[in-house]
Amino acid sequence: MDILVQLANGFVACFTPIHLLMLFVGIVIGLLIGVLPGLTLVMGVALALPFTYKMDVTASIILLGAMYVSGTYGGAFTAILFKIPGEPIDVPMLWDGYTMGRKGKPAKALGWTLVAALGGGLLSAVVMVALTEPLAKFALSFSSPEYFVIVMFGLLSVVAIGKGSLANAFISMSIGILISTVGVDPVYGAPRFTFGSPLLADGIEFLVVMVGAYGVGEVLTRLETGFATQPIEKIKNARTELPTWKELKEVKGMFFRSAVVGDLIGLLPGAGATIASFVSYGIEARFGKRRKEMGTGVAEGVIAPQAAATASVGGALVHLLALGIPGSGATAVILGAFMLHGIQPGPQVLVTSAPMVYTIFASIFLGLFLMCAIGYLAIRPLIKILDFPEAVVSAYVLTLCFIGALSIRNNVTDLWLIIAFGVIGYGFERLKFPIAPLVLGVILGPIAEDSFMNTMISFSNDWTVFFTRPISGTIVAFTTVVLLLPFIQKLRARYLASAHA
Amino acid sequence: MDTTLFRSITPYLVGLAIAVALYFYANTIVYTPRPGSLGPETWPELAILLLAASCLFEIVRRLIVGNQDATGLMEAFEREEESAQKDPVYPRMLVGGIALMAVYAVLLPYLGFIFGTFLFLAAFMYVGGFRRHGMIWLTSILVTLLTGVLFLRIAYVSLPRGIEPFAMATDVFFKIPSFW
Repeated sequence: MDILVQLANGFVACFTPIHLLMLFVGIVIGLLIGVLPGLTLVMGVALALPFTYKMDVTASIILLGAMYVSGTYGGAFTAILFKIPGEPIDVPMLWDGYTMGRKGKPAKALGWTLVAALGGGLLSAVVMVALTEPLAKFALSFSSPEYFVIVMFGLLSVVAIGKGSLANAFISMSIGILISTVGVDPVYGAPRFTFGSPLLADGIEFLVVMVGAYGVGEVLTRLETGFATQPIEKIKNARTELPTWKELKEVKGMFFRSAVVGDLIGLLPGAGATIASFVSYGIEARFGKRRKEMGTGVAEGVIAPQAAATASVGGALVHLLALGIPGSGATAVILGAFMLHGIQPGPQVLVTSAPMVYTIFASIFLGLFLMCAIGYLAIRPLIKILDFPEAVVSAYVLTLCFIGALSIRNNVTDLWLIIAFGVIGYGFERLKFPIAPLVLGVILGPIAEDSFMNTMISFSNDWTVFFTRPISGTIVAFTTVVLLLPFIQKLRARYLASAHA
Repeated sequence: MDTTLFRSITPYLVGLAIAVALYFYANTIVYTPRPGSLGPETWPELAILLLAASCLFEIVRRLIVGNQDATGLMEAFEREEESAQKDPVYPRMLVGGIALMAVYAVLLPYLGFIFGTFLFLAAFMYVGGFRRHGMIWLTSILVTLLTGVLFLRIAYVSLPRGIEPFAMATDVFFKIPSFW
């Protein structure tokens, strides 16, 4: 009951002009980011961060949260209409969404996407509200060993659940943790890895790493290909046709299943909207009622990835707010925004800043409706942005990155650092090293170090404490399972291949 | 050893060398030890060991299985795509872009944010292969004006003013009435 009262107060707080403005701006920018193939969701959220410096924390998170939610939806427009996935999330949308469009039903495909985003998003928002407070209350009983293993669980999940080599992800994470140790050590006051530079004594701001690796790095990657975006065909009557009640009833079971899958995946640190979208499509293609028709332009192939992608947002916000653990690049940026305003999300945040948290929750509900309304009414102007040449958009993106660097300390050295991390980000992309573990390592590294050192002091340097205490031991076991998942999956694939042979 | 294989393990060899160098550097951190407490080098050393172990693992793996990229959990859920064509690459554009950013960083304290950014925007579009001159200069002016108003007068971000006469470009924005 208390949760509902707080949520109602959150809705009231949302209806202030600045919060409504931020919600609207965030939704529109998020949709545009989704539409533009050169801009990724995380990059967009990171670029918006400098705008939030002078805002109050609630307005900042409303802006970034709205971008996060609508960024999972906007890319579906271009995937369905032009076969251009605005985000990696939208790749499964090409298989049935685009095919449905080619069969003369693009409006219907867009209608299914809208309903899936709204339904999946609403379900996950309900779960988010219901779970965050109990989880935060439970986490209040955590001591430093538990907190350390939770942070490591967050970091290692990002490493384990992803694309490409596990070793590359570990390397990326280690580099991130090492970057976070640059500067004066908070316990001993000893300079670490400063190489005699006074500027490095202050440490390297995570914002520089984040904006550099995601923003500048992505622009450099696309510059190398000569900004070769596919030419798009002109669509005169882009519109959305909502499914009928009867059509909705036919897919209600799989709709619910996809939203639950997305929400559960979101709850797992490390697995964001992209994974949710792929896994949900995979489940439908393997076990769904119309599994044999998947890929031929059926509604299930549109609903599964979209409902799961948007549903993952609520799940991801649960552990961000209750435990202070971001599970993806986008939530890492949102954590960064909290920290820039002097707030550390985690078990205490619901004790100290409950009205703010519930205002953010309410903004997610409102944002979902606003997103669908804008998506329904303004699809044509939104996809118009594709007419902008990529070189122009990229030049503006770089300017925003530079402002992000300069606004930290008004120091040109930060500009040099952002360029350097841009080149590193490009190198990572080229050599197939994931960027998310690097960024999460930079953000979570100091928290992990702090809880590790506190544990060592409190338990006389006895490292076995991480395994012997009930909660931390359970989390360690769970982390081990997550780390073993890629190997289990490979063994299973090998077994299936030999069985087929 | 085959050249392709050697090229594929080079990044890991470099990573391993950096890890070894950093490990020794971490041991030179100067501090006053406290009895029973771990020093400030412990945590970075753990990260360095993880870095070194990961590099070593990948080198050994590639030497055993050959030049094959490992796949992750995500690939299991991906579908085989129709033959994805490879985009051509333009290394000169990339080098030009990085050089342009470096020049921007060098000149920014002198040109100031407004004038420097205006020139950067136009130059970057040319480097990016865009050749519609009217649109390049028009968008550069518009984006610079928009950015100036947005950050100098609305978000109040402190940005480099530059030296005279370029500083005048920034000063113009301070004559615009404040929004708050």
